Amino acid sequence: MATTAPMTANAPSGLSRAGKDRLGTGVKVAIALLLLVVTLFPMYWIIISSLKTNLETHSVPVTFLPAVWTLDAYQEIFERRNFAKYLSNAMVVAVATTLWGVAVAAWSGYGFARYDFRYKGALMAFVLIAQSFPRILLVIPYFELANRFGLKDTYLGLILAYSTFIQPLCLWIMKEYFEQIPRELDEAALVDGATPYRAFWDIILPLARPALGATAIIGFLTAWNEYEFALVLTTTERVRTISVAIASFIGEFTTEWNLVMAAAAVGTVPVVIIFLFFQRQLMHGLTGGAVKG
Amino acid sequence: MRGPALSQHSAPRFRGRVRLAPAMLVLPAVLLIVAVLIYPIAYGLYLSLFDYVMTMSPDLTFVGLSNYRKLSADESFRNSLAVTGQFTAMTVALEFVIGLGIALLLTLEFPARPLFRALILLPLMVPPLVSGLLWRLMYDHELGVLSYFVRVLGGEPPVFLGDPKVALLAVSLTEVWRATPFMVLVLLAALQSVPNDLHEAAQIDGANAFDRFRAVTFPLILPVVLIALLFRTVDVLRTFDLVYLLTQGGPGSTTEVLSMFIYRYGFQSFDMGLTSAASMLLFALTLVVCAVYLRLIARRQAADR
Repeated sequence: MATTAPMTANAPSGLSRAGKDRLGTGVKVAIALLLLVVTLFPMYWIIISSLKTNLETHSVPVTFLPAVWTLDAYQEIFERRNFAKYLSNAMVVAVATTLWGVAVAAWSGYGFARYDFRYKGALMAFVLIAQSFPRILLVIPYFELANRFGLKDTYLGLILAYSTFIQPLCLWIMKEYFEQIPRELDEAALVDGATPYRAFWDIILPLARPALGATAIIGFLTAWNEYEFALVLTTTERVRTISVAIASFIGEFTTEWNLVMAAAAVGTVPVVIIFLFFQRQLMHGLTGGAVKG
Repeated sequence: MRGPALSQHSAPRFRGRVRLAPAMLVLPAVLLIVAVLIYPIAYGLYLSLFDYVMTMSPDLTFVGLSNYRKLSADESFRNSLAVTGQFTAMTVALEFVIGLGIALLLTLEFPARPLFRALILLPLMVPPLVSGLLWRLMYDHELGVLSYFVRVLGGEPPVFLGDPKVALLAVSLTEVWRATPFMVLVLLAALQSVPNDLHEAAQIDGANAFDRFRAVTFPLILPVVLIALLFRTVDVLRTFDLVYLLTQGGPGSTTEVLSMFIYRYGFQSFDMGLTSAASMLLFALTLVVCAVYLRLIARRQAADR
């Protein structure tokens, strides 16, 4: 299904010449600007609200620039709300899941790309569909099992739970990539007497280095954004991740919106920076293989 | 490097290990997937056949399909099915229409197009959870900037997240804002793969822009359109964090999508049997949607050949 339409993301546009003279430049730029305002305004709102005082986020009418610019919210979440701990928890879980996921995906992805065996088709179909499993479907049994095996509030519990979506994701991307590497390369090594493991390690893996990086970034981002499992499998600060922490600033009666937005900004900015840097490399994985990037 | 003669000589020695290689390579991922995915799903399926309320007693009583029967008669479960259907259809349709519009705009030439392209994709990077919190603030009746805009324009804003008639649309628009860039990304790539000469030929034949799109471009990008729709449909079908943070399913249960229903049921009543049964039905729904789309895609591909 991922191989449906071979295409290149940056091929010369088919429509640009054909439709050039229908719309004036002014009209196009105006539409583009309008779309950008709608798209970016909410993101602007995160930043600007995080730089207000709590009082000002509750004042009517709303202000579009803070009357008093302040970093109080950031200071508060880091100094008194233990935010650094949640950041590092999220980092530990996301990095561990990703490293482990990419390692297994590279090793086995190579096997899936190069060898045929019984049930391979069914297994790969399962791997593909597994990425779109409703997470709540797994949350319930994981909650049960974590209670039973003492995995609640542990890194291991979260890492196992995150593997449910990171592992299929990484495996799929790596397999797709290995399939694009010509078979002649490893066959030559095999003829020279190398074992399949040697051929993988010495010949194929070095070639797959860019894919390893891209897969790791996509895995990391996906794990970083996770909320459901973290919500259900953490009850204390010990392993609570940033996503649960951000949401926990919502109060039952009043909410300190400047804190929520500061936390949201801290949770989002690393992701946006990674995206802007690696946009091109990530295209393929982000679109789940629908687009050959 | 060893010569071919030597390698031929040494080949038999390796043969045993070589034959095992596929299994050794594939096994770690298979074992891991069985452990973290298949086992819990099977466990969920197993639980769904039992009467098991976690907080009452640790005992499981086998009840067969009784949980499924109870669910199909349950008013709030049926409601959540309807809400999920409505929410998914509305969200995916809006994303598609807007996404196609933006993708078409991006195929035209105008100043600073690459910058526009990069910036328009940014919401995709906002975690759904953050998107939920952000829009909760913006929708707020008193403090929300959107309510403020409506007032400035002289209207009386609806209580976006509190009005049963508006709430589901409000939640949907939040997801549309966040995920439309995905559509843009995929559709743009598809549009750019349409060969130029086909268009020129159609233009010479006197076809106008709309006809050219309908008769030439759209059939060519249809397979990719279907894939994009599939991805977004299964993703919207499982929406949880957004609803949880925006409305918790309210007002009443007008925005209670299936994931929210399952969560509420699981962690309020702790009736794990019934909750697991509901999860299995959501799972089945996802598989059916996948199957339908994959069928359509396969048919398209067969037609293209």
